[in-house]
Amino acid sequence: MSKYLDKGVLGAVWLSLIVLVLVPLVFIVPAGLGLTDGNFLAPVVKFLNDERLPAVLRNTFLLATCVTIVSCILGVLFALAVERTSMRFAWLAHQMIMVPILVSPLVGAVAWVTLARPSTGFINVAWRTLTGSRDPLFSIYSFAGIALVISLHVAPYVYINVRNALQNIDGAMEEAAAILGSHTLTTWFRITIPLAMPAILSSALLVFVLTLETFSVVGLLGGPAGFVTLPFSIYLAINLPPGDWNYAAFEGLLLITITGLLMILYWKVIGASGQYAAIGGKGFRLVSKVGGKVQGMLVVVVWSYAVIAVVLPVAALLLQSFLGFTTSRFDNMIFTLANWQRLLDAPAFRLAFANTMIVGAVAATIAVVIGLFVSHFSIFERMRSLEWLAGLPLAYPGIVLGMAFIFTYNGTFIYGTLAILILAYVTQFLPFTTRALSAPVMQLDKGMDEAGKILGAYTMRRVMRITAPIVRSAVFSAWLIAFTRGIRELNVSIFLYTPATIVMPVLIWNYMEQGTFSQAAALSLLQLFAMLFLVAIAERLGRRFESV
Amino acid sequence: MLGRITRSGLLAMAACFALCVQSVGAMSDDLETKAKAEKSLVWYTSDSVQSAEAMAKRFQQKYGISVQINRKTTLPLVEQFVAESARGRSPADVFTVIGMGPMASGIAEKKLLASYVPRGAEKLPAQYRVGDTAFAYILSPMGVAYNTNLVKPEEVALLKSYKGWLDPRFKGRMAITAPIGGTTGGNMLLLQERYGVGFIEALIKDQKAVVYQTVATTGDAVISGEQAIGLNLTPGVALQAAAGAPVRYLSQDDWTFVVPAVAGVSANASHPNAARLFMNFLFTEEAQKLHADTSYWIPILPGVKPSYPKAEWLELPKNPVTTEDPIKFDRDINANIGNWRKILGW
Repeated sequence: MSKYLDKGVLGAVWLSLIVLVLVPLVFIVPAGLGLTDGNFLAPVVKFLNDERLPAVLRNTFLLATCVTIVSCILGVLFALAVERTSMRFAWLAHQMIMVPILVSPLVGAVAWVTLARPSTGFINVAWRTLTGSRDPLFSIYSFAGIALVISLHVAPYVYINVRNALQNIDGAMEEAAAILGSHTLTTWFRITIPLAMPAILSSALLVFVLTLETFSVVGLLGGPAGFVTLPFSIYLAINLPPGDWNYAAFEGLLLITITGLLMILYWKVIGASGQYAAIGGKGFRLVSKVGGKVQGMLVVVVWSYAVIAVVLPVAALLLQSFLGFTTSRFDNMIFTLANWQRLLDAPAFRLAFANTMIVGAVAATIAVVIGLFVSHFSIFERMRSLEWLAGLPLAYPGIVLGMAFIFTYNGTFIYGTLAILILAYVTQFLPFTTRALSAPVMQLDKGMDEAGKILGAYTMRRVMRITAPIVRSAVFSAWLIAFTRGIRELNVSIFLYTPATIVMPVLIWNYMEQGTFSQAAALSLLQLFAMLFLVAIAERLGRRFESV
Repeated sequence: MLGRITRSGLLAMAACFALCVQSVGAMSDDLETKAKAEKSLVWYTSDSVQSAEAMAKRFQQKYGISVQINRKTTLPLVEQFVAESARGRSPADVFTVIGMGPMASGIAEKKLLASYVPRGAEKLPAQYRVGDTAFAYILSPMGVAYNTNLVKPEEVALLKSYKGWLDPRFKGRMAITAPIGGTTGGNMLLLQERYGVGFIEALIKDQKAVVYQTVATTGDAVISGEQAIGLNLTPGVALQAAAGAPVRYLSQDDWTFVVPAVAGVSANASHPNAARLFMNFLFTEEAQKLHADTSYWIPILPGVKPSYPKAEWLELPKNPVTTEDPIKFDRDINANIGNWRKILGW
């Protein structure tokens, strides 16, 4: 009986991964090749004859490269500041650095339009007033503007990875270098950064892929800049008349191929970093931390980032949310509560809030359960292909995944329900939950699972009664990561929502598109505060889990 | 030819008329009862968001039937409706887009709308209806918005003619909405047909007009003072003007492209009676006035006089033009979009 149940559980895991990960991909391929309307290879021919192609590809890779370089520099500096200096309020700096990861890049872009429009952005108005210059200090409608907004948003990913690496690096070598009189910067460049290089490289690849996928920021800021990237081109192919879904599907396949190849490289680097850590091991923690000028410079970098990435955008959104109409002239400003009132009165807001919480929570729970079983089978039963399959959606750009789900499920009973959003979210979350759970499961003593097996416990029981309680802290973290991603998810939802299944990020997008910017600002703030509140509660709960 | 009217004849005619009135009233009551029993309806619309919300609210207040709005721009909305209908059932009960083209071609060809002539729409001219399935209920003009702090009165006079847009004084001060839909694309097509593609090239290359993606973002750029003038716009900015924003809207004296919002009942409506009642509501004087006062568009029913609150400066277009052949018009927009993207730089 136990044997059959075990096979059933394994079959269910395989089936869920195939349905979630492979089936949407299978449905998008025929469309991308023009098989669905009988024009075989027509999208390919159109693509090759597209005069915009070189510019689109150049823009896409140039943006990803610049963002990767900037965010890696920032991320490494933040990690060094928090982990290797004795800066005051390091805990607060850590929280501030992490805030941008909680909000969608679109919200950041909305705020930065208010701050850095060339003529009327607050920063440029202040610049002109102070210097008498006729030119703006900085235009958000530019390549640099787009790169800035995305870099501010993705730098925390680099920070968190490099910080983890720095925490695990043996401090003995750095300590020895200090004793021998090496300057702090020399030690960092010769010892610390090379030791953290696998983490930096893997972060760089992750950031490169995330930037390749981004469409909302380019969609908002790219129009006036005449700047189109591949994901934005996909969006335009669908939204400009006559609307060519097959062409969009082909561009999506191309994007998946690129991100897929990069993700293979990413996994190789991750693998290499794991091997490296195993050899190096963890010695003692570095006790003495750096102060002086180096610390001073890093403190300036960290708090400047906090101001630029968090304080200024939040202040801009707050101001915008109380304005009767958009203006940067204080003598023209009319303050009103009407935007908040209209937002809170809108049935769409209440519906979107409820849907966001339901979809986020249910999808995160399913993704964690699947991730737990995938980790179990992958590590205890050596079924590595399961883990590979669960990690595959990391290479699926959100906009392509949304399109693939339309091709797959349109016309089925789940289309237009919250279920299709939940399925799409689970697909997106799987790589994160699986990766977050496989590491702690790997550290478990296999003997406990073996003992459970000998005593006749079937897989479901062993996972839920042995593995899950032991790694409960990681389970909770994985759930939280997935849930927060769900609250700010736009790329997939924008394809799959209906009036009854609208979620908050889509509502923000709609407000932006309809010109109700002040309501968009108000909702963005609510989304941010809801995230901060939930994360704070979750961290308290997490600490309780750890202490049990 | 006509016989003499007798008293009994007159009484018979009166009785017939009373019966007719009663039966129409009974039908109307019957529809209202059935509609109320359905409790709600889903409205897919590309209409002005403020108007759509106001209309939905008023309809709910009047009949107790809640209206759920799915608001998107025309093309994505048409694609959603067609795809949903093709592979099953769309949640839409009432379907509304801007422009006759999408209704006359894709939607009508696929028979996605039910036959229903709303009360009040019977006498609409052929150019504003697609058989007995779709009916124009409001007209949106395409014109120019300008920031009153940044544009001088003598420059305003120049903006009232299309040729004036090319005046060197406007160089680097204009924004233009990309031709992404039937309204903006249609206006661009008319500009090209009447003044040649060189006119559009001159706007972008010589006048350095900045391209924004939607009517809303172009309007916001003008309201905030980021740009002095916004081209290819509907009069929605008048709402902000009413709230105190330094912005005005004007139409060109030469001609003004007007685009209808067109509505029909979905062939697979889950709430067909509520949908029919809503269609009737769209053609009431109350709804026409409400729509016009929240969008600053033009009622399609003659005799309806909107108050256009706090916009006494707003002038209706002197020479409105519309398309006689919407299907060809849409085809021409689609044929030119690639070239426009090249000129606009995206």
